[in-house]
Amino acid sequence: MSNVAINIAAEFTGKPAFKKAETSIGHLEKRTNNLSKTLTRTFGTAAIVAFGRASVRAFAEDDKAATSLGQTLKNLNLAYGSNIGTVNGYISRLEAQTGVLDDELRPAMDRLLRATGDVAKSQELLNLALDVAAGTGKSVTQVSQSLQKAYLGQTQALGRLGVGLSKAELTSSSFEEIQQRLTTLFAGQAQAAAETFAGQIDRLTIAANNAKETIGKGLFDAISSLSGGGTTAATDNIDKLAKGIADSVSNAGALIGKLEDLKPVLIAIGVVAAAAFLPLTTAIAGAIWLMGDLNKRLDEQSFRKGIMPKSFSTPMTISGQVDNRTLKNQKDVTKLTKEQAANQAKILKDKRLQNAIDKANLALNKGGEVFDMDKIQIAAALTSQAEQLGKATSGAQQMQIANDVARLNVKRSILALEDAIQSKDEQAIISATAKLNADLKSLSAITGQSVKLADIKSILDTLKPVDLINQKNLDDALAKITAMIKALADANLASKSSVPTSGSLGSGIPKGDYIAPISTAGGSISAILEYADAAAARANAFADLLDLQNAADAAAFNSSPLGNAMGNNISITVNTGIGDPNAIAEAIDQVLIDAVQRGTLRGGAY
Amino acid sequence: MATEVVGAVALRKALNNYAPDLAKELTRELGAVLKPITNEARSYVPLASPMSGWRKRETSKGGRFPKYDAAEIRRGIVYKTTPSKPNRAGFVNAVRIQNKSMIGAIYETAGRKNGQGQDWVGTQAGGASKGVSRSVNPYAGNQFISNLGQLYGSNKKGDHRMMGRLIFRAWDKTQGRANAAVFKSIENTTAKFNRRTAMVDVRRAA
Repeated sequence: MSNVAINIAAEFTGKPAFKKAETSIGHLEKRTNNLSKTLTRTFGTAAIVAFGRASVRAFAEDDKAATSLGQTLKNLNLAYGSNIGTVNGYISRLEAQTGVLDDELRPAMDRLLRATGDVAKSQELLNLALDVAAGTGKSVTQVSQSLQKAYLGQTQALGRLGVGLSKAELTSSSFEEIQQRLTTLFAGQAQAAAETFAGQIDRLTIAANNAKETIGKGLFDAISSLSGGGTTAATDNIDKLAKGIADSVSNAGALIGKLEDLKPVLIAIGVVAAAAFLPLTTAIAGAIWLMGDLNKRLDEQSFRKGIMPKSFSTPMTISGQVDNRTLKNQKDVTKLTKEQAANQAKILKDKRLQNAIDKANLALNKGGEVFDMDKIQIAAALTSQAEQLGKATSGAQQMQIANDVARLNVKRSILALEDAIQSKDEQAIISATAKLNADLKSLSAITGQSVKLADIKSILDTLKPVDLINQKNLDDALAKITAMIKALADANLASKSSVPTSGSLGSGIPKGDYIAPISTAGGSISAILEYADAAAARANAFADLLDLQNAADAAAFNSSPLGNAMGNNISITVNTGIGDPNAIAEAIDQVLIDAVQRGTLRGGAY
Repeated sequence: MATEVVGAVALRKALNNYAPDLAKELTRELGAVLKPITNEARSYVPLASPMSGWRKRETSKGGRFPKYDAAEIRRGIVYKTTPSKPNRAGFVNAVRIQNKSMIGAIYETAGRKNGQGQDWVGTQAGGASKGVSRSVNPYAGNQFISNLGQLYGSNKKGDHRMMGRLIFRAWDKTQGRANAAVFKSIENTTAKFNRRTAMVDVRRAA
C-alpha cells in the first residue's frame, strides 16, 4: 500500500524506536537464556572446541573458588549442618540478582568469613559491599577488602573508597556505626544497578558464564574420565580432540576431492565388476538386505522386551548434563524470579490503587472548594459574634468577644493566604500576608493580656459594616456643619443692619395697643362681633409683621458672607394647606422623617 | 506539510468516551470539508489510460508494474479522520487525505523527483539500481511523464512532496481554505467539549 497522503493535522507521540529497542532487549534476554541449549547447534566444530576448552577452564576456576570457600568454612569450624550449601546457594542467588560474577563473590565471601568468623555477618557485609560497590563504582573485591579491614579496625581503606565518611567519623565511630551509616547511604544501590540496562547485560553474561561452567563440567567429566582425571590432562585432550577433528575434516575434504577426480574410472570399474560378478553380487546384496531386515526385527523385539535401548530419536546435548547442585540453584533462581514477579505485580497493583485514591482525593478537593466548611463556619461564627456584641453589657463579655473575633480573623486570614498562594497571585499573597500579620498581632495582644480598650475597639469595629457607616465621612460632615454655624455667627456679627422691630417696620399697631378680652357670658352679640373684628385686624397686623420680619431676616442672610457663599438661591417648598398650622407641622415632620430614612439627615429624634 | 497539533489524539479519545455526539459532529464537519476535495480529486482521474500500452486488459496477469485502472484509483482516494499509527518520526496523523492504491500513487506522483524521467541505462547495463530506466526505449521515462500531464501544487524551495495530479491538485485548489476549516472545526469542537466539561465554581457563582 502506498503512503501518498496529505497529512493535515498530526501529533507527535514519541518515536516508536524506543519501544522497539525495549522489545529487542527483551528478546535478547530470552534468547541468551537459552544460550547453552543452542550453542551446540549454532557453533562450528572449531568454535565448540574453543568454547569447550574455555568452559573447562571456567569450571575449573569456579570449582577452585568453591573448594576454597568450602575449605575456609571448614577451617573456621563453620562447615556444619547445611552451611556450605547455604553459602553456595546464597552466592548463586546474589549472582543472579545483582549481576556480579560468583568469581568475585566467592573470594569476597571467603575474605569476610575469615574476618568475621560468622556466616550471617559475612552475608550482611557482602550485601553491604555490593551496595557500596554499585554506589561508588569500585569493584566488589576492593570494597570487600576495605570492609574486612574496617571490621578488623583499619578504616583508612574504607575512607579511600569515597563513601562520604570523613576521617574523623571513621576513626571515632565503631564498626557497627560505620556499617549502619553505610547501609543508610547505599541502601538499594545494588538492586537499582541490576535493574539498569548494564545490569541486565551483566546478568545475561552471568547466565552465559554459568552455562559455560556447566558445559565445562560436563566436558571435564567426560574427557578426564578418558585421561585418568586432572585439569591439565583434560585440556590436553581437548586440544588433541580439536586437532583430530581438524585433521579429519581436512582429510575428508582431500578424499572427496580425489574421488571426484577418479569418478569416471571408479564408475567404469564398478560396471565391469558388477557385470562379471552379477550372480555373486546379487546374492551378496540379497543377503545384506535379509540380514538388515533381521537385525531390525531383532532390535524391535529386544526393545519391546527391554533388553536393548532403542536409539534416541533426538540427539542428546551436553547442556542436559547438570549436577544436582546446579539444578537446585536453578530451582532457587526460578523461585526467586517468581517471587520477584509476584512482588512487582503487587507493587503495580498498589500503584494502581494509589492512582485511584489520588483521583478520588482530587475530586474530593474540588468538592471541598465548593463547600468550604472552614470558611462557612468562620462566617457563621463571625455573624454570631456580631450578634453577641450587640447584646454584650459588660467589659468582660466584650473582651471575650474580641478574643474570639481575633482568632476567627486569624483563621480567615490563613485561609485567604492559602487561596492566594494557590492562585499564585503575588499581590494577593502580599496583602493576605500583611492581613495575617496584623491579625496575629491583635491576637497576641489579647492572649498576652496586655490589651487596651482601643485594641478591643479596633477589633470590634471589624464587625461593623464599614461601608454603610463611614465614621470619617460623618466626622467630616459634622466639621463642615460646625464651620457653617460659625460662619453664620460671624456673618450676623458682621452685619451692619439692626434687627427690625414692629415699630420700626411700621406695622400699624400703635405702641401700647392692647385689646382686652371680653366676657362672652352675658355680653351682646354686637359687642362680641366687634371684638372679633378687632382681634382679626390685630392678628392680620401681626401676620404682616411676621412676614416683614422674615423678609428682613432673609435680606440679612443674603447680605451675609454665608448667603453670598451659597449663591443666595435657597428655596424650600413645603406643599401643604394654607392657614392650617397642624398641616404645615405634619408636612415638615414628614419631610424630616424622609430625609432621615434616606440617610441625608442624622441626629435628633429622627 | 502537516500542522502539528498537541492533544489531537487525546481529544479524539475524550470525545469518543465522554461526548460521542460531539465526536460524530466533528467527523461530520470534517467530512463536509474533506469530502468535496476527495470528490474533486476523483474527478481528475482520466477514464482512459493516458497511454494505450498501460491500459488494463482482460489478459493482464499481474506483473511488477501495475496497469492503469481508473476505478481502482478512484476507490483509493479517501479521507480519514481517525488517528493513524505513528510513523517513523513518531507522528500520528489525525486528519488526512489518502491516495491509497498503487496505481493511483504512480499517477499522482510520477515525475515529482525527475521531471524528465529516470536516467536511461538500457537493457544491457549491469548493477541493481532501481533508480534508472532499463527500457529498450531511451525516451520511455520522459514520454511516460509527459503523457501523464503536469504536476500541481506548491513547489516551495524545491520540495516536491506537496505536488501531485489528483489529491494534491484538489488540495492546492482550496488555497488553504480547507486547512483553515479543518482546524476551525477541531477548535470549535474542543471549545464545546471544554465548555461541557468545565467545573462550575458554585461558591464563586453564589
